[in-house]
Amino acid sequence: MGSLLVVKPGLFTSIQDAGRFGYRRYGVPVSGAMDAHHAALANALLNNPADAPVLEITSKGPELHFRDHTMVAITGAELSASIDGHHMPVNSVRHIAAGQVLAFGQPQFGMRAYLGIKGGYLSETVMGSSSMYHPVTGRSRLETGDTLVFRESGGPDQLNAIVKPDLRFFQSQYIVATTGPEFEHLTPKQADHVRKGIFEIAENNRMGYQFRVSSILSHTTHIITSPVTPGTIQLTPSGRLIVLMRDGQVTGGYPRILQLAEDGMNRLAQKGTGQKIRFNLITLP
Amino acid sequence: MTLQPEYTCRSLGENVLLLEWPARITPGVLQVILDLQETIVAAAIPGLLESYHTYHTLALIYDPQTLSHYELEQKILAVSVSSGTVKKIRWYIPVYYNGEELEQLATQKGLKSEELIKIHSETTYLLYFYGFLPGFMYLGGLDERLHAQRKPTPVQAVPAGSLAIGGAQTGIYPTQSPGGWHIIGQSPLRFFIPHTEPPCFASPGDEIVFEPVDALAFREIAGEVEAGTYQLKKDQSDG
Repeated sequence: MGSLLVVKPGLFTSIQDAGRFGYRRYGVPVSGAMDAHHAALANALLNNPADAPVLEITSKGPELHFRDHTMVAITGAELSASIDGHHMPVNSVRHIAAGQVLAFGQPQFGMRAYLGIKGGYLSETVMGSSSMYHPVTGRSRLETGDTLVFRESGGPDQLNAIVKPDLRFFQSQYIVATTGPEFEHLTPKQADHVRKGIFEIAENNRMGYQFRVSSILSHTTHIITSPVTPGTIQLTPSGRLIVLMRDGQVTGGYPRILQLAEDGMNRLAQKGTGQKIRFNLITLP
Repeated sequence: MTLQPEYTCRSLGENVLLLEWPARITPGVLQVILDLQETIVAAAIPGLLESYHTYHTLALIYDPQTLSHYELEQKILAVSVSSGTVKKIRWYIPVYYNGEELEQLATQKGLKSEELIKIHSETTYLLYFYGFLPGFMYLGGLDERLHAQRKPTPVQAVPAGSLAIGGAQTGIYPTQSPGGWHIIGQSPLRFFIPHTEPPCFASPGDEIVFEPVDALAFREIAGEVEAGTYQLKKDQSDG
């Protein structure tokens, strides 16, 4: 086993795995990596199990001092990672030696990066998952002074070729969506706006993405509290679309207008406040 | 049991099947949902990962690589539902009714504080489900005289253990959270204990009664809860 010290925690850095299943009946959200695709890629590059815990890094990255050597991989957003000042490009694997510092610089594209480590991070497992989410785990994010433990301290494995990042994953404006249970409550004009409109992200965090209010979408419909799931898009009375993400609550009283699948959530998770998207709305028969 | 289900099925995303009953809040529908859920879980259908419910909907989370939602619907129809075997429990939750908001709410409703406390604590509530936050109970039965619109501006940090009223609902915030309900007291109990199985002591279908205690008793109970020695009062019924 090895460890590293968190010297600076970054904007919002947490340990995430594939999610916490079986506890929604107690109001416990699923959690897990916001961009599950790139979290799995970080593990794949290291020949880890796909659901090994990774570090999810948001926008401004942490500063990590490694006490032991191991292999790391960085995927997802290009947040200018470096080891002792040498740039580690996104989708690459590096050996990191005891005493070296892994830090981050200016974001180049994307919002969330994943730092995988050989064997995965060892962290408190609660209800079958290491995904950090308070109050299930002690804290939701890393803080200065934290020590992270990882499973293997080891010598260099064979270094694999760099995987070319798919820039369209980050740049495309389109998010594929299907209609939600309450889509029929929209007027024809409202439905048209959802299909064709441009929506600007006003706020985002692990619980959800909120878009700017579209007054044309304002309404008075409410539903009795019903199940929602990551990817469910709710519409508030004032006309604000809210996309529930991985830490989102499991029940809700706002109409469920649209639904994102995994791919839609992964792509949205790489966008930031101020960016605009459009829905590619597929209506299922 | 009946051949035609009382529910309709539809998908919520690629891995959730919703069984929906007519949109009402009634103890009868809750019992039907709980019975069906218990039967489905016991049937251990391969690919069915977890289930949870709200007032009139049962959500089934499944692995779409193992079975389709059509297959899951058929398998659900094939199970024969028996009446719930789980005994209901009535839990007695100590609460210290107090605070400015309680007095303001009482005035707003044309009641004295003592009357509000009496009405609130003499009701037996039905636990419908957990949602919103880990351990947040959705309780039914709040007396109409205490119904109150949520506050126009929510508070950033409602303390853990706060007993509150919002709309036609009452409940306890299990952890600190933003909230727009009217806070009428505190309970010293822990409503979500992550390292225990189950993490919540009450199950949907159970009953909840709030027992008024004074500030001193509140502190004593809080101490016992902290030490792990507090014995939660409960009645188990056979019905």
